[in-house]
Parts: sequence; C-alpha cells; structure tokens
Amino acid sequence: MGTRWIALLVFAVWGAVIAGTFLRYGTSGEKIFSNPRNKRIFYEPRGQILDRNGTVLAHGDGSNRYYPLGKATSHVLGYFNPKIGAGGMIEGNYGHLLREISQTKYLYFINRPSHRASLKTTLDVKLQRAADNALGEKKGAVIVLKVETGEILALVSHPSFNPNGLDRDWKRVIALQKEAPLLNRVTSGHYSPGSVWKVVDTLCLLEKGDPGKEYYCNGIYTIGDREIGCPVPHGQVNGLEDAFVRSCNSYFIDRIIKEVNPEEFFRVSSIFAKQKTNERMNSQDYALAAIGQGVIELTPLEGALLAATVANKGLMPSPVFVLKEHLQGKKILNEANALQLQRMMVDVVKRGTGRGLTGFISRKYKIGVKTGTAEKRQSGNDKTNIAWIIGFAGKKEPEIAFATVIEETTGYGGEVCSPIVRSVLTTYFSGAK
Amino acid sequence: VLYRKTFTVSDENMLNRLVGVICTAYILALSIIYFEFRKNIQFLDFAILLSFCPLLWSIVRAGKRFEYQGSLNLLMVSALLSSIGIVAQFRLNLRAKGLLGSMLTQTQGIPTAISHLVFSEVALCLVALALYSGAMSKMVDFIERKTGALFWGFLSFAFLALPLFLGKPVGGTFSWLVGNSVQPSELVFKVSFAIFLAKFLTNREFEITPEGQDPRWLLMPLGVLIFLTTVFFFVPLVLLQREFGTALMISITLIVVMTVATGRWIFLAAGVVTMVLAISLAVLVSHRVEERIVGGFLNWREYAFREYFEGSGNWPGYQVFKSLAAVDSAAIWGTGLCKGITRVSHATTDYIAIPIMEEFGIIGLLILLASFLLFIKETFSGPLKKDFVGFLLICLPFGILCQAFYNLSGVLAMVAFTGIPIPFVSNGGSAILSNYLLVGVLSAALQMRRDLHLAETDPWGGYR
Repeated sequence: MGTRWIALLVFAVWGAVIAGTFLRYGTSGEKIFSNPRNKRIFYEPRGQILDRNGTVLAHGDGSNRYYPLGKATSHVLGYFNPKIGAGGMIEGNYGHLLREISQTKYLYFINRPSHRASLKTTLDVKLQRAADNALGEKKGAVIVLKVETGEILALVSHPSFNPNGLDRDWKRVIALQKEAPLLNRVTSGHYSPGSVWKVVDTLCLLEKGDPGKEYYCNGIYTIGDREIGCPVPHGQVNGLEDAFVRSCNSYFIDRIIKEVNPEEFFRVSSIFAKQKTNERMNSQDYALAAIGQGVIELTPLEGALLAATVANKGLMPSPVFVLKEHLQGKKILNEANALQLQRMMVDVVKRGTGRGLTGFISRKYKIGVKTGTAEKRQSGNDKTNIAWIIGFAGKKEPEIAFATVIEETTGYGGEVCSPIVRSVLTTYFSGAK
Repeated sequence: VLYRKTFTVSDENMLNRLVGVICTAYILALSIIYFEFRKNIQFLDFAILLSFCPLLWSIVRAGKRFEYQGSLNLLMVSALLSSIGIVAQFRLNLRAKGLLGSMLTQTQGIPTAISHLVFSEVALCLVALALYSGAMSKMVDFIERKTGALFWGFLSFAFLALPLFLGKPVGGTFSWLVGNSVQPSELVFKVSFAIFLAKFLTNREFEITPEGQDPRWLLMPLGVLIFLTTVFFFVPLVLLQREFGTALMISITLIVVMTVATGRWIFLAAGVVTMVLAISLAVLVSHRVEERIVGGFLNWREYAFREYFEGSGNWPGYQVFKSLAAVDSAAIWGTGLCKGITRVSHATTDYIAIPIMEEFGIIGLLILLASFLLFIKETFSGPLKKDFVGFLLICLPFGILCQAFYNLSGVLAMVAFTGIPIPFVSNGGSAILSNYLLVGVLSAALQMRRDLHLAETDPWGGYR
C-alpha cells in the first residue's frame, strides 16, 4: 500500500474517532448535561412527574409545565420555567431523569420520542395533600418518610408558592424576604430543636449505661449566674424514662453536664444535626445545648431521620425521592438502646406531652413521639416559640417516621403540632394496606 | 450519490442527475425551514436563497458551452458543502455584519444565510469562469515557472503583517482587516502556504526523497524548511497577529504534507513531538493558550458554568460544554430538522457543525466527513509526480482536510479548539473566497496532471 493510501487511512481513522467521540457524548447520558444551569434543557421535551401510585404531579414542556397540585407540592417538586430556570427537589436535582431524548430508531425524519421519560417518585399524593391541608396557613414544615427505605412520602413547607406560571409571579415571590416562600423549610430550615434533642441526650446516657438516677426538679436549674428552667416544676423524677416522658429540662442538664463529656455529646449530636460549636463555649452553652437550644440546629428532615433511626432499630435510612432509588442506610445505634428509646417515645404518647395522639394507641397502632418547644427571640424583647414533634407510627411495628415544626407560635410543641400529626396519620392509616 | 459521482461524474447525464439531487435536497430543506419558522423569516430571504439552484445549473451548462474538458468533481463537492452551509445558516436565522453586512447596512447586519449565499455564488462563478476560460491553468503554470518559494514566503509575510497597520484587535488577535471583516491569514493558510510548500518541495525534490540515501541527508532541507516556515508564517502569526489557531493548522498541514510527500513516517512522529513541545511552551508563555488548553479542553466540566473573569464572555469550557450538551441532545439520530435548540455561541462560524450534528445526528456528521475526504480521494485517483503540480495536489487538499477535521475534533472537545471555521460551511467572506480559490487552483492542477498524463501516454493526443 502506498504512502498516500496510508494517509487516506489515517484520515479515515481520524474520522472514525470523531464519529466515535460523537457517539460517546451522544449516548453517555452524563449528568452534567442535565444540570439546571444548562439552559438548553428548558427547551427540550420533559417527562412527567408521578407519585408512587401513578398520579400525575407535573407534566408539559417549557413554559407550559403544569403542576396540578399547585402550592401543595411546590417545594418537593420545585419549578421549571424557561424564564427563571429550574429549582426545588425533583425538578432541580433529578432533571437528568426527566429529559426526553428522541428514541426514534428507524424512521429518521420523524422525530417522535418512543417513550415518555416519566419519573415515579416516592411521594404519596394523599399524604402530601393531607399534610398541606393540616399545615394550613401556619408557617412551618411537615415531612413523612418510610423508616426502612427512607422513601419520602410527603414533604410540605409553608409559606409556599404557586409553581404554575411562576415567571409572572417571580418578582413578587422573591421580594417576600420575611416569609421566604422559596425556602424549603424541610431541608433548609434550621431550627433549635428544644426538647426533641432529649432523644440524643437519652442516647448518650443509654450508651454510658443508665443507672436509673432519681432527681428532684424544683423548676429551676442554676449554672453560674444563669437560671435555666422547666415550664413547670416536675417535683420527683423517677429515672431517665420518667424524665424523658415528662420532658424535664433540669434532669437532663444535670446528668449531661455531670456524666457526659462535651466532646462525646457533640460527636453524637453531629451525627444527627448541624451545630455551631466553637472553642469559647462555656458550661452554660453546654447546658443549653443539652436541651436543644443555642448551638444545636435541626432541620425537619434531620428530625424525621432521627425518629426513623430509633424506629428502625438503630439503622438510619438515607432519604430518597425516586422510587427506584435505594441508598444504603447507616448503623448508628445498637438495637437494645433503640428499642428502649422506642418504648420511651411510645410512653410520651401514653402519658407525656404527646397525649393528644393517644387515639391511635387505643386503636392498637404503634406510635411514639417526642415533642419540643424552643424559644426564638424576635425584635426587642418579644419571644415566640418553635414547636416540634418528631416520631414514628405503624400498624404493629413502626412503618413511617415524621417531623413537624411550626414557627412563630405561642403554643407548645404537643398542643400545636399534634393536630397536624393526627391529620396526617389518620390519612396514612386510612390508606395503609 | 457522492460515491457514484466520483467515478461517473464525467458522464454528462450523471452530472445533471447530481445537480438535480443537490438542488432538490436544498430546496426541500429550505422549504421545510421556511414553513416551520415562517413567522420569523422573510419570504424575500427564502426566495433569494433559491437562486443557488439555477446558478449551479447554469455553471454546469456553461461548462458544456465552453467545452471545458476538466473535471467538475471538486466544484460539485464544494457546491454541496456550500449548500449544506447555506441551509444551516438559514436554519439558524441569525444576522451578522460581516463584510457584506458592513457594506449594505450599518445597524443590525444581514442574515448570515444571505451573506453565505452571495459569497458562495460570487466565488463559484469566478472560479468556474477562471477554469472554463483556462485562466486558472495559466495562473498555475505562471506560478510554476515564474515564482519561487521565497517569493510566496515574503508575500505571505506581507499579507500577515497587513492587519498590524490597517486593522484593529479583535478578541486579543490582530488578524482582521476592513472593519473586522477580512482575515488575510485565511488566504495565506489556504493558498499561499500551500504554494510555498509545493515550491519548496519541488526545488528540493532530489534532496528530500533520495533513493537509498542515508536519512540524515534530510536534516539540512528539513532544517531550512522549518526555518523558513517559522520566519514567514509562525513569526507573523504567533508574535504579530497572536493567531494561534492558524499557526496550529499550518503546523498540522506541514507535518501531514511532509509525511505524504516524502513517504517517511519519521516526519509524522517528529512533527507530533515538536508540536506537543511547542504547545507546552505556549501554555507556559501565553495565558490565553493556557485558558484554551485547561479551561476548554482538559477541565471543561469544571469550567462548564463558570463565568469568564475577563471581559463579558465565558471560559472556553462553557462553549465546549454547550456544544457537547447539543451532541448529548442529538444522541445517535439527531433531533430532526428544525427540532434542535441552537444555543451555541459562534453557531454560524466556528461551531456551525454543532447545529448540523444536533439535528442530523451521526448521518450529518458522516456526510461532512465523507465530503471532505473526497478532496484527497480526487488527488489520489491519478499518478502523483514529484513535481510542482504533484506537490500542489498534496498540499492543497490536505490543508483543507486538516482544517475540516480539526474543526470537527475541536467542537467535540477532542483537541483544544482555537476558532478555526469549517471550510465552505461556516459563514464568512474572505474565508469562502479563499476556499473556492483553493478549489480552483486544485481543479486546474488536476487538469494539468491529466493533460500531462495524456500527453505522456498518448503523444498524438488522439489524432492518430
């Protein structure tokens, strides 16, 4: 073969490499191409978003993207609009699964995708709607997830926005800085957990081996020049379980400060929540951290995962939004401690601050919660409460975990959040098979 | 169609059929685009673009009238590529000032499809007339007899130095003239560099390719060639114009031509090593080259969404990302005509292959590759002598082939890309004229080779 034919061959091979590169990028499905900042995808066909039972939650392309449930699903589905981009949990993070690539194989000039690239989520539209209705006009968040798989069944954050035609409403929505309707409070709302953090205190004490210490609560605990107290004096507290059920601040401060090393406490805390610890912290800060104030901050999602870890016998599930997605959970607690905590949380419903949910106990369901109330300073000397409930529920064994938080309330966790949880659980048990 | 044409285009019926196929596909594509986007496209533009077909037909007819004995193969391939370019420009429906735009209007420019059409038609007519009248052959003959390599070297240097005195800087380069519309480096790379190279190789054919000689014999002529190329081409391009892309193209063409002309593969290996070293040096010395290599080639994913810190543009990686995202969208079969999303900047020039590939998928890419391969196919279809015409037949097509393949490799992020348009398809003024001039010289050279071959094999010229 002459040199010139070899040269031709070299170019032919170069051409084949070009074609190969084209095929590589054309079929690789690299996630970067589906990044919401890639403006191309706003103009491409986009698949439907479905709930776990096939109910359509979002459909249409480009500026005609429509969300039938409107505000009720705004944070979990997000938004998709050529003028403002893509954002939120599903539209913002799972765009690569929603893009429709033409699958025409033989009829070259007929551009018709052979399948709809719909995405089946883990959401349950009934629970989602129930949580949204239960939350009503209150500012706060609700999340429900399955304890074993971490599948998110409902995720609601209020105030919310209407994702339909959001481009027309965009300027007004982003101007509402105080309400922050675009903020997904479930994943990005960092709140002081208050007494909910006693779940972590209890874990620390159980791991050290609980000697069943008794304590007398006079309503006030003094550290240096600062007095930290309980809402009411609890009087005689008969051990850890009693303190947990009655949510006695003084008991937990006393034992955590005296028995648990701060490094160990913050190490366990960091498994479940973000914290703003620093080297200048003193014993007062540590005492406040023990009752979920000060440096400890928890999102509702983290609260639900904390409850799910207890309900799942110490195995923390990874939250997932897509039905086919399954992530490996992490073993956090030993099973015996987790089961003991479960019993304590059930007792909170039976005789503690979660008595508003005893109806489920009488119907033989298994339900356990921990309530919490954290103070939040507003302008001047005004204070409002952040009300919490985290917990789990199931017919015989824990099936779902949940967290509810309400901002800017004057009530306490149990009284403010219980009606919301009751409504969500009623919907869940009415549809549970 | 292209395959059959290569062997049977001398047949008049086949030529007519070929023009018919090109024109039908062209009109069909324009019509589909017009009806799809008729709200945004003026009917007058559509009507003007249709004039390409009667013009092509007239050129073929005129060849018969002038009793032109040469081959129209390369002119037909060029016309096919131009028609693809015009359709792609019409589909993009963008405006640009360019050479024609700045002459006709001072504000928003004219549609790039119209500009492309006008330059293609003018160039096609001029080259066809020059071929039919024999002027092109006479010109090649004149170049062969009356000029030398040094003349073309000095001429190229003068052309490349012109923008320093008459032009303004554009995007960090000093390579444009006449209101940033004419790029002399196009003409230098396409035509005068090839002639310089052919002349040099012709003068030293016995030194370059001695039979059975010690390869070390080559060092001297090779050193002279590299020295002259550096002085006449690399110095003005890199140091004066800061036009790295054309310098790179000249390097690639030089390596390929030296390898093919001498049949010594050592040139390819040595050339590649030298180029790698030169690029490494350029990365160390030039911040602009470093950006191209790092931001646009090696780490494009990291720079995909990053704003450029100087000026208003983005990192080269942003452009690479957008072109690859289009390929991702095209998958294998493309999105279909008019269904693509043209979101690549420089879509009418350097990145024109991307919208074509996006809408026509692998078929569109293969048509482009095959069309350009036909340029060397034609060269190799006859005997190659080691004379001026023989070397010209190597230098010219490999120049255009390297440019096309480099462009397609660049837009697919296979190599660091430095603003090289795809011949005949990308929008341009001086670039299109240079391409057609190259085709004219190449066709004339082919005709001369055929005549010479005929004279050698049949001294009676058929009159026995």
